[in-house]
Amino acid sequence: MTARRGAIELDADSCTSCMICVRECPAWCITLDASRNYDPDAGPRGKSKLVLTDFVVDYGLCIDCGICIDVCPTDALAWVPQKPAATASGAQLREELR
Amino acid sequence: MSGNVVVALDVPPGTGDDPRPLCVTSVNLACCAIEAGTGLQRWSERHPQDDQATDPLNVLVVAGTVTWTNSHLVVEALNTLAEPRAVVAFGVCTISGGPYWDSYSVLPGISELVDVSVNVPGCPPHPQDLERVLDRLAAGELL
Amino acid sequence: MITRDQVAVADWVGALSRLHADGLIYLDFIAATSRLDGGTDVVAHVMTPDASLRVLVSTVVGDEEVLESLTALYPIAAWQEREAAELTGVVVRGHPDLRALTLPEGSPAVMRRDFVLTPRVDTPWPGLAEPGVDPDSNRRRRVRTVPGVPAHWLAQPGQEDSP
Repeated sequence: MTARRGAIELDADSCTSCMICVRECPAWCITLDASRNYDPDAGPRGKSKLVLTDFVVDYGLCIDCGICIDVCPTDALAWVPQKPAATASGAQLREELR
Repeated sequence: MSGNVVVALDVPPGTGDDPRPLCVTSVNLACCAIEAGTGLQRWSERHPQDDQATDPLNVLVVAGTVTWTNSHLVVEALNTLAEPRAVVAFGVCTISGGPYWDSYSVLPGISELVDVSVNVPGCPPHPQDLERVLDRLAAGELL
Repeated sequence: MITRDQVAVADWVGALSRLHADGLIYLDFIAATSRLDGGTDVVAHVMTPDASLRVLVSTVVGDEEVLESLTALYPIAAWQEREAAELTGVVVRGHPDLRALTLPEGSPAVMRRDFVLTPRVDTPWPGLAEPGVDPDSNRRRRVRTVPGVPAHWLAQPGQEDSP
């Protein structure tokens, strides 16, 4: 059974910061930032890894289409049934999932 | 006013924590009106009408996409309400323009049109979301 | 069964007349879509009243060309053509009453591709961010276009990006 459309839940450990959800969102409501961490001891020449630092959904714009959930290549996004609570200001509807 | 503006419902004070009476008017413009109407219906079943209620909080629920052409209906509806009054923006069309955020004909939300007290996210929000907002307004919250 | 027919704009009325004579006397809609590279796509859906035969007739009306009105054949085309004309600016000849249908009189043709949707231009697209990419690096990166924003909507070089 699919969860009722409501809000979006992020599994940050699965997110690779690929930006696909940000770019596919029709309402432009997702903002994402990540930074590159370099580990010199990982592998023969060291490895740099992209680490998610910010993932913000503006629920004042989110139209519950679920495209972000559908396109995520690592299934890092999922529905949760409850929308964030009603707020006094639209700016407060920007919810930081990371 | 034409049929887009719907019923005012009063609520009696004095149940439990003595919630404040509400007089609710809704401006029903598009699909969100179905959910808002359902929420209002269910909420009014829990709060029977009381014509003796005094000093209600006048609540205007705006439900549905607001265009430049019909925006005057929102302002006119608000102007029929005396203070104290509160505006509930129900659904993302009223918060940001929602799916029509880029349209030539749609207001990007009603916050520049009227003072908005409560923003209810969703496309559409669940009827329960409006019930919860009205409960909280009656309890003196959110303002 | 539905068939598709592409005709030259000069044969618009001719093609619809032939279909009308064959019994496709019900006009479902006329839809006009502005083309990115200029001109307007116009499609008419006609059918027999029992829907056993349906045809989508399309044509391309160049910016300098004219679409002949179908109102003599299909009176219901009157409102369809008014809407097409006001929204896309397509020029319709022979229409009995070309008042605006949905927009205030004198409005620009808002569905034309050169009508700028200002929210799309003014709102920064979050998709332009390239997290983890050094902005000063010399590595060539793909120039990303913003969805729904044709290049000709963007500010000319030398103009500020935002007010």
